[in-house]
Amino acid sequence: MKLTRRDVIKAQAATVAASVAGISLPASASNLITSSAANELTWSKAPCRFCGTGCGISVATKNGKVVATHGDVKAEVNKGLSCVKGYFLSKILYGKDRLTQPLLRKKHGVYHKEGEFTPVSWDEAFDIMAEKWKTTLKAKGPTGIGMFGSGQWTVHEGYAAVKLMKAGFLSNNIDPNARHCMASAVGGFMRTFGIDEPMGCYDDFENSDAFVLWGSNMAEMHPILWTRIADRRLSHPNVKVAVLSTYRHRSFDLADIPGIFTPQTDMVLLNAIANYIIESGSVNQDFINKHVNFREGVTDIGYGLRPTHELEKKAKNAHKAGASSPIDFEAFAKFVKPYTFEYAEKMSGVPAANIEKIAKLYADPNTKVMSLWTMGANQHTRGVWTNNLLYNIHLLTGKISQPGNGPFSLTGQPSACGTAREVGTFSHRLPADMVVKNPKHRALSEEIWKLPKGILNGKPGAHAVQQSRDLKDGKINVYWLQVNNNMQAGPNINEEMLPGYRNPDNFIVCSDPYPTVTAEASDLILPTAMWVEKEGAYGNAERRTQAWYQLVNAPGEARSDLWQLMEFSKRFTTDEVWPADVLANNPAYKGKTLFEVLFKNGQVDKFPLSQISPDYENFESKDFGFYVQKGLFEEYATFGRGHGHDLAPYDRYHKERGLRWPVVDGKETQWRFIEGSDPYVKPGTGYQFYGKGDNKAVIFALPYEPPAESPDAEYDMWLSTGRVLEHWHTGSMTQRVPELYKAVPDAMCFMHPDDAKKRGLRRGDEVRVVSRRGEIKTRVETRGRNKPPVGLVFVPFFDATQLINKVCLDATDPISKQTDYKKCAVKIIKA
Amino acid sequence: MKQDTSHISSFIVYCRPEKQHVIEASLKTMAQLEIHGANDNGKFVVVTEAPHQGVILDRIEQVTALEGVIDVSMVYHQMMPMDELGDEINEQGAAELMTSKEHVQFCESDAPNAANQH
Repeated sequence: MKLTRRDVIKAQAATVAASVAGISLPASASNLITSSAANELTWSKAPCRFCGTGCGISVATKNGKVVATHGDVKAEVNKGLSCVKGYFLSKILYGKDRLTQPLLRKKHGVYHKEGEFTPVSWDEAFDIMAEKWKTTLKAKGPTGIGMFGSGQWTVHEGYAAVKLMKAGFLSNNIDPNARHCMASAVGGFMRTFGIDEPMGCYDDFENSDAFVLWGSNMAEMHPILWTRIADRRLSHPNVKVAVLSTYRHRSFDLADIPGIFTPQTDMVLLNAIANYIIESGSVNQDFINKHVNFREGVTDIGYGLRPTHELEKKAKNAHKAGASSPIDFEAFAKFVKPYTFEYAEKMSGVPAANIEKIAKLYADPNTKVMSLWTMGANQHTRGVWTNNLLYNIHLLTGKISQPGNGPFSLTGQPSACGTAREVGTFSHRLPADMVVKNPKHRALSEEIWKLPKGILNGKPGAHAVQQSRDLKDGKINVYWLQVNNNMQAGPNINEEMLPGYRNPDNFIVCSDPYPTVTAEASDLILPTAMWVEKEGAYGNAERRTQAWYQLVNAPGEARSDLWQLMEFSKRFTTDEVWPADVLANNPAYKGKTLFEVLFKNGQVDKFPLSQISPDYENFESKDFGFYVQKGLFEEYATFGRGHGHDLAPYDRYHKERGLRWPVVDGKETQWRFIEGSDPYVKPGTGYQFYGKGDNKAVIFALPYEPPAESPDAEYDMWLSTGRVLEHWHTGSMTQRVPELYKAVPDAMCFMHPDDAKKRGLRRGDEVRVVSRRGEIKTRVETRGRNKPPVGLVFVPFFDATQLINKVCLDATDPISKQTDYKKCAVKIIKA
Repeated sequence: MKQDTSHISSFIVYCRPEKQHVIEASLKTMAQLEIHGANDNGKFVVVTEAPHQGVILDRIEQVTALEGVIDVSMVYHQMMPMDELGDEINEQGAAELMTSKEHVQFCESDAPNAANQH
């Protein structure tokens, strides 16, 4: 048989797809897989660069370039599949405007705030940075500096960043963009369970009888997990899918029980389901007696706006938003009693009959049910409450931590869990769920980090939105952003963000592979190595830690964030940044650089270059002279081992398609808190929610409270923002893939045809979306994939030419400080 | 380089089983798209070859829009210089290369699976 290279590649493409789908191909075709070597490609593994699903990708390189990718058949997460973004993953590295050298604003050859971006060397870039940092530290101390990082940092990068800021500069002003994304989820976990991250895992999908989506559009945002749900639904006709959202979207194609609710009334629906579970006698009494406490939270907690805002002045408990007091089951039952189906229908607009159908999925002890949610519940001025209410209905019924039964908080970023949350890059956190406020946690961190006793700063720093306010108010004067595009992703851009970046007193540094709007608003741009241009590790939504090797070199002088952080630390000595009395009492640290104290501390530099893989490059390790990633990981892992966050030895992650922590005695954990699966649960107890001292989870009595801003006579529409399948977040990577750009080039305003008609608008017309804070111009779409109800518009935020976040309100959840991007009031006017 | 490269890719189409025949007929009318396999539960394996990836996305969008299609998942993508695609391949040599792990590191499952048991 004569074969061409075309036949071979096509057969390989088909064979991989067939094996993934579980379909047999004709023999002649499948035999050809043996010829795939004819492609002469080198295949390696890496987790995908985009969302929190954490798909495994097989990456092929040839002549120093990434040339092919496919879903990794060995990866348990995606079993060979990939979504359209993962499919075009290789192309994100090769955008035409990739940054390859540092750029500094200069006039007449020197730095000038109003100067033009001019190429400079890394030395010159770090010189000016160090000068600005030192001046600020001298004038204002650690609160004058700030860093904004990311759930896209690798585990190593986030760890190095938090160490540099908290242990080096003694500043807690470090926060990740995961604050915009997962902070309410974290708050929910900590309040209910006392330990962060889901108890279940993706294996739940193949074991569940019912799936309830709370505000999530998984078909577009978590397409691979959606494929697993679709597969389960299509092959098991008894399985039910309920989709709840504030507008109709692609996930509704699979919905057996649809529900469109008025923004914020998810809280009413959840309390109504809790009430039904109680009134129908479906409470798992044994479970709640043994494993649950009841508490009532304080109410009237404000909206996380500036203290001068009218709403904050009016709020009674804004200063103690997280407070609660113990109650009993009877008090809880009484609390949710007013939440009848009739009341819930009146508030939410979802027909009582449909609410009942969903409530029954939870109440029926023989139906295994998964609740799934992401930004709809988290980007919510009552986000922590909403997460708590979701846990309530699973705890009342004991439907938790069992295969197919459980609440599952999905994640938006590839390492929001692994880096932002587990490493603890939030302004109030330390690694492994510890917090800066707790003196014991600080002492333990000082010991592991080999720091002088008592040196860590116990006051939480500025969170994301607070950092923007502090920049505007001149309280933070130097600011470093890595792996995020906050000028596009942050709220209320014109009023609360841009003024801080262009404040003449401030010096803003942005590390990015591409010239994003954030980079362009900065004073110094540092070119970054991305994804497989460096060795790294991510942690996904099911506690799975995955590592990858450096597969190709970064272009030009682009360097990883890890290298940037560590190299910058060489520019400071302890005498410049630590208090004199600490150094007087600990003379051994005097005169040392932060690099020596933080990274050449006998731990991080413990593993020699001989331990890096001979088959792969490792720029950072070769530059610093030791196996940087292994040293950082092993030191970091010390925090969690033996404390419910156990990670395996680093080298093992290069061999596995990830492992779900806690990894104890070499074994990963699928379901936490339940006997038999979780090694931390003692035999005979059944369950132990060991994040809490008494091993009991908490059911919270929390009411519905209205949003910060609702439509009125003038601003008469709800605005909800979000993503589309083809683009990831602000589009800084996906907009540079020509095919993805072409598929969805511009953002648009999805609206109901009746709303369009009422305003004399036709599909494609240009309109102004106007709020009290700002406006954008965009075009009307009445027939697209998203179909809002009357009274609501949806605008995606990926498009840098249409910054919808100028329109958004910077209201946050008062407990989690996460912004609500899902609801504010706007008017739509013909342009 | 762009005009001289060809993109070969594969994806899986999931549809409601009762619509399988209608969907199959629709897929067959689409240019640059070949059905390489199917089962009775509403799944198809589809391969495309196109001068640029935009065509692939157009097809995906087109297929997704078909009434009864639940989901389209991408599996494989490779670009090759157009002038190399017609080259004849010695199957024997290729098979030897494949088994020699020093040259090629595969991420595919080592265990025999449904597709290559034949």
